[in-house]
Amino acid sequence: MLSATTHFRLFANCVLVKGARRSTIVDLQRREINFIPDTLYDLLTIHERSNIGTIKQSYLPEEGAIIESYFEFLLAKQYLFLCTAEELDLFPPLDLSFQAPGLIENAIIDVDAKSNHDFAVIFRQLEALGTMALHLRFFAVCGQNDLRKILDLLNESSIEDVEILLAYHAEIQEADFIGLAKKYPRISSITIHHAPEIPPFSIASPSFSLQWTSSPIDDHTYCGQIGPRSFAIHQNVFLESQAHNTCLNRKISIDKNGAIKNCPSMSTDYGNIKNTSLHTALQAQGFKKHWNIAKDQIAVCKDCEFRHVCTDCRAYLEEPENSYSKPLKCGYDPYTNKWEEWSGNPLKEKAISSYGLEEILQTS
Amino acid sequence: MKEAEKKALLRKELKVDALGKIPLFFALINIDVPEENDLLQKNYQGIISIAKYQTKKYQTSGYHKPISKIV
Repeated sequence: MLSATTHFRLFANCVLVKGARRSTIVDLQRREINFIPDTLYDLLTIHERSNIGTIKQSYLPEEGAIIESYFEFLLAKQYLFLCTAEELDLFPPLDLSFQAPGLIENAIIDVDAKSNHDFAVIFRQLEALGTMALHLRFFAVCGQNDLRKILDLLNESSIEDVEILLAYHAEIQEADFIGLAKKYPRISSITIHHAPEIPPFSIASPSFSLQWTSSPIDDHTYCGQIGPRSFAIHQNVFLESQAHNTCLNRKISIDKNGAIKNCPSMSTDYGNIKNTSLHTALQAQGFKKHWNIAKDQIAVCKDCEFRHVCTDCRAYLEEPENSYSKPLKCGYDPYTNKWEEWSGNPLKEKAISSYGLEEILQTS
Repeated sequence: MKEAEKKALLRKELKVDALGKIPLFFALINIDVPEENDLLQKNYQGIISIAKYQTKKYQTSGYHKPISKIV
């Protein structure tokens, strides 16, 4: 039984997010998310500075046991601690402002059989912009030697993390990937597309992951899938999401033809890497158009309890002409708390057709 | 708040282990949690934020979010 004079404080790294039908507590230290009822969200926010006795008086007598069980849960999960009224101000909330050191934080480079990128030049330009992470997406088969030549260019790079998407070919051996991960520690993950239904082997390592998908990923149109797999429970994402777009903020991309874009799936380009520097493209009017579209401004997303752990998509929208509409490839409904297959929603047919996605839906 | 309580709370907030160490971050820089440090007593929320950030930074490999969502 809690003392009536006791106060409480949520740990600064445990932040509440209210949704339309339920809320979440995001533990940014442990990188965990837990659901709570909206009524508990209200209790914790309205009565932020009240003691337990005052809180109980605000509810019906028979609800006292529920309030006790709420606090038992929160204490057991180490989301909050008990303190006195005098101690409340000793524990200020987390500063939710976001800062990043580089002009660009992450980049995508798309490659198909006809691409002719000068990777040495591109990597130098990305480093100059302060890029931390890179996603290399090969839609066609890329030989081991060609891949190693590209990765060798990153040996002394300031780019810390590289993810790779590769097309499957039968000669791929487990030893090749183990060798790649060992020689190039910047590689954190490799995803193989066009793979057989049953993966021929798996690699388990704390610093490297290998994924397989049988989907035939031939171009950028497969991107933008929103789901629990794309959630990132991380302080940086949480802070960035408060005022910025979690996908497009500080991102630059080079599509398979060399066009410089914010995202390869977007139609607008800002020059070609053959004759335009990334820095010049970045300064062009409109390049940063989507950078500050935060989840709190997006229709439906603004009522979603996952909105601050979700990496958004502005390339495929339910209303293609409305930059503030819900991502097309998200099947979650925060008003029912149900996940559904987004492509089966009849209300999305028009947008699917507008982006020309019917074909990939048939093949995937 | 009594000093002992404050320290206990601080340890709880940092989620330190029984030996008074934050398992990874402070192990990496090879020091104990400085319980007697005045700065820590006066402004420990800031210290906690830094320690937590550093702890998490070293606990994870790879970039912190999906760069693209292609699969």
